[in-house]
Amino acid sequence: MSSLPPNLSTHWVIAALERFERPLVSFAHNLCGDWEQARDAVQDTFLRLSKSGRPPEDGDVEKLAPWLFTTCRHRIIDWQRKNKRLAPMDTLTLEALPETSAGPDSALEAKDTASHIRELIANLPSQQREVIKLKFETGLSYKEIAAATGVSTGTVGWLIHTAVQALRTSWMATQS
Amino acid sequence: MKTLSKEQLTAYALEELSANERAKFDALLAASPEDQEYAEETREFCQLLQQTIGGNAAPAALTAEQKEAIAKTIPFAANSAPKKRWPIYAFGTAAAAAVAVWLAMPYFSKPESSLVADNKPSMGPAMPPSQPVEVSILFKRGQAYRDLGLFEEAGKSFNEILAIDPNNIDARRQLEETEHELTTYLAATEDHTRARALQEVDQLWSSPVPRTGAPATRAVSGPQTEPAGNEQGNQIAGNADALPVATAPLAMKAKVDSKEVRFEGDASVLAKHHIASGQKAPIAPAPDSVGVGEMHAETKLFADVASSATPAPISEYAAIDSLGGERSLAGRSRGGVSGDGFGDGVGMRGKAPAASLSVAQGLESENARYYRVAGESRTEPLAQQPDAPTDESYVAPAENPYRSVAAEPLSTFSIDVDTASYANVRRFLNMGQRPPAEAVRLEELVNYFRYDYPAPAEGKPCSITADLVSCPWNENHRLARVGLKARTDEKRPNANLVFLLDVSGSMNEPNKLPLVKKSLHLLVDKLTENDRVSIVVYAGASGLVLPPTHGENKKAILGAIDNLQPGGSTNGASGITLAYEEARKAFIKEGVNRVILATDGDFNVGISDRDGLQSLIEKEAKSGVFLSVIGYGMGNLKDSTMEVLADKGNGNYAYIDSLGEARKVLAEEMSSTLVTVAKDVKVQIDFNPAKVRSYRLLGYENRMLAKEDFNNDKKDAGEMGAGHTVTALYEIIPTDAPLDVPAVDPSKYQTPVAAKEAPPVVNNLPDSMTVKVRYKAPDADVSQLMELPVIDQKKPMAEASGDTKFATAVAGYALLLKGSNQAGNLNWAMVRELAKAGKGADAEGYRGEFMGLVDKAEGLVR
Repeated sequence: MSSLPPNLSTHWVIAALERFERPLVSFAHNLCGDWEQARDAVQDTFLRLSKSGRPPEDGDVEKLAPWLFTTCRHRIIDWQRKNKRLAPMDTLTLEALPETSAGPDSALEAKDTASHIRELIANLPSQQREVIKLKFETGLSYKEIAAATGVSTGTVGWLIHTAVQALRTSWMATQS
Repeated sequence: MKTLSKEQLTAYALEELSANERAKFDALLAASPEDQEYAEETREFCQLLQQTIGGNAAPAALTAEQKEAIAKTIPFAANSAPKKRWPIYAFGTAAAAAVAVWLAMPYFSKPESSLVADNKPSMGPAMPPSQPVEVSILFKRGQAYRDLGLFEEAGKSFNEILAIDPNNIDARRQLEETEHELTTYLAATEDHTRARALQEVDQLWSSPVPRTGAPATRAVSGPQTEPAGNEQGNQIAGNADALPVATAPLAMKAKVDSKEVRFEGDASVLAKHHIASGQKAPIAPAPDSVGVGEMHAETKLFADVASSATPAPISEYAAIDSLGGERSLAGRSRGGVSGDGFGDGVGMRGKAPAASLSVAQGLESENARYYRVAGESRTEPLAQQPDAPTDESYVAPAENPYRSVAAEPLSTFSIDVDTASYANVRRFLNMGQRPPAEAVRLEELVNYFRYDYPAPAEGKPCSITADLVSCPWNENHRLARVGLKARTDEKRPNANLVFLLDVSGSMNEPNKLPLVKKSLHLLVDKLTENDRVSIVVYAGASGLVLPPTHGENKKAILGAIDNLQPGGSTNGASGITLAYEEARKAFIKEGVNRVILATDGDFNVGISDRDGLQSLIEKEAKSGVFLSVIGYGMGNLKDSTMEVLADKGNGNYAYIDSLGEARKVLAEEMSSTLVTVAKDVKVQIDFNPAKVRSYRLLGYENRMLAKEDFNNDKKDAGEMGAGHTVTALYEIIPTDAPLDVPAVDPSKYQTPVAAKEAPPVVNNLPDSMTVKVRYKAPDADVSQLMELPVIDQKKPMAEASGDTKFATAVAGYALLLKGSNQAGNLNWAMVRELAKAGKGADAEGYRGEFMGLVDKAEGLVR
């Protein structure tokens, strides 16, 4: 980026890029499981941002967050539908698939921590599961999650709190 | 004094509070060690979560080239660029334009149709201020076009605005949204066309050729069809479109609401594609904005389906969903910026489909959308494709019609103790699918449960009881329950068992071979030193895995079982030949000699001619080695084949879908499964025309016998094992009921024969009917007769025994699942009440499980 002239590097698109590059790419990767596809989607998102020519109100790039996350998600969906109907599942979903072999003995087999936790997460209600993934896997902040999902920050806080405490309780129960 | 909420504590632990808030927080926190502890524990746990599922942070960035590309697209405001920079950015702009067009290409077939006009920054003089009027006219026009769905025109209008005023934000926004709509629309129409094309292909998949070679016709259920001589030869392996009427309105709804069409086209195509190709493909959600949560739920959903055995059977069954029409699209907002992230209209949860009904509902409604598209009439069968994704076959006889006692006073049928249909139906319900009507055999559902009939008298293999009660779904009718109970042997005779196991490649699924192995463990556990076990496998080359071994040598037996590996194709016949040989080698006189065949239905290579197989099995059965069949898995279940083979082999057919069922069939009821106390058991009911006008046997459609067969000992019939109960239900119209059965119009070309209202009554017996049972001792060839006259005590259902109520409930459940149109006022509430009233002690819990299935069935059948 050093090749750009100084007045350009403070342009709002660049500012948005710097602020949201990492969360968006993580978010996109979460959706589609593929880094290349994620990067392409995010690049496309920023290109659209730039084309739209719409700087944010009072120059606060944070306000762009909802639009960015939504557009990014759209791009992933469009791309998947167009090009590749077989999108790989994200690893969290894969590992959370319950064992299908019948038998009480397999259910009692000791599970290691990671897969146990993943299973607990998979059993959360869908909204809670999503925020947990966005928080801990994608690493978004409350505000970013709110932007990405379209609910208010307060709701995000409540969802995360409920989910974390539920997971903690279940986890503690199995540890004793 | 402000106290800290738990929610705030969590936010604090995750460092989501601003600096100000944190300062205030720290002060309050210091005052409460409890809160500190809570925060600390939460923080630790969150770290654990982070470690467990986090870890993708590192490469989350765009490449340098990508960033350059973005930078180059930044338009310059007219007066912010010094003139000397213009050349560099002219190039950059052209490149950006090229990029823009290139990016737009996947969405449109012709690049020149791109709605996004090349965006040249206006480096020239600023826009003349006298344009606004024209701009607003164009703007309104553009919006109008957009609302009309004329996206090309709308795009043109907005581009014209931009030509005048490139900085017009609103025009740009409208253009963006229009472009998005156009994308979605094109995609949807493409998918819609594709869906139609695929639908035609799928029609060809819809009916397999029935094994007897009879042309497949649509099975019609109802009183019109006379299943004369309805034995195995008269199979109609068609597709009973159980509720064709119900399909139509749903399909219409789909067409009317354009939103639904779009979604349906999309998901159904993908659903078919997914199922047909048997891949673990998640379904991409609707083209409109779909919540992240929902996408994952759907993704996970299909992963579950795909991972559990072969995909669920499709086009053979006219599955009608109750949810599809009502599934709310509320959570899905259209296009644009305001996407609701959590479109949770379906309420799916991430649990295993077998366990969770809500997931199952989601799955079921996805499939339902699929069925709606493909739900047109199916006609010609196509030869079975070797790699057909699903290949289940069922025989579909029509329901027994009402028969007039005047014309046919004798009703004859063979008993049936198979229970496979119950377990199979349960499997469908647990998957959230309506079972195909052909898979529902009423008698097997009723006979799944044990009833408390009195033990037989000394020297008799079984006892007969009969009961007449009021019919709950038709107040003018009565229900007759006939029950047989086989004696329970205190001591099980010594057993010589040969396990004939299908270890072909298709058994390589968790609910097949591994379950077989676990089932056999349970059985072997019950064997003693006087028993003998051998294991024969068939998979390409048939082989003897374990020579006849004494029952107490469990280590050797279990070791052989555990070492079984799936692989190869199936040659059912030569495996069977070998199995019978081994059985004869280890034959135990006065004992139980049986081949137990465990398979998912594969009889691919070798003698797949069912008649040849049947005659082999019959011959062996005559020589004392019986055959029982246990079905596993789904997708390839040859229900009809297995039932027939078990019949011919004088054994029984059970379906095992879970370890619980394995325990029931092979451990708890092992003696019933293995020990035959009566052979070729036939029942004939003689109705008294003075008391009964007409009757209808519920179930036993493919067990009917001609009245001459009753006394014909050469005619094969079902076997009863120790402790078995057999129940048959008749719906009876007594002579004093008002006439509601449609009378037949006399022919207008013939003088009507004097109507035979009732033949001359021979005697004034008070019985309504007499139950006759013929049976043979297991090693005898001559049958013996038992009789029981039954007098109607005019008992109402309320006074009936718990068992009668429960049996009636199960019969009602079967009738509703079959979509019977002869069930009067029957509804699910009735079924549930009767079941509850008849539940009783329910020591093993099967009746309780039944009530759960009733709830599931109610959700799937309307």
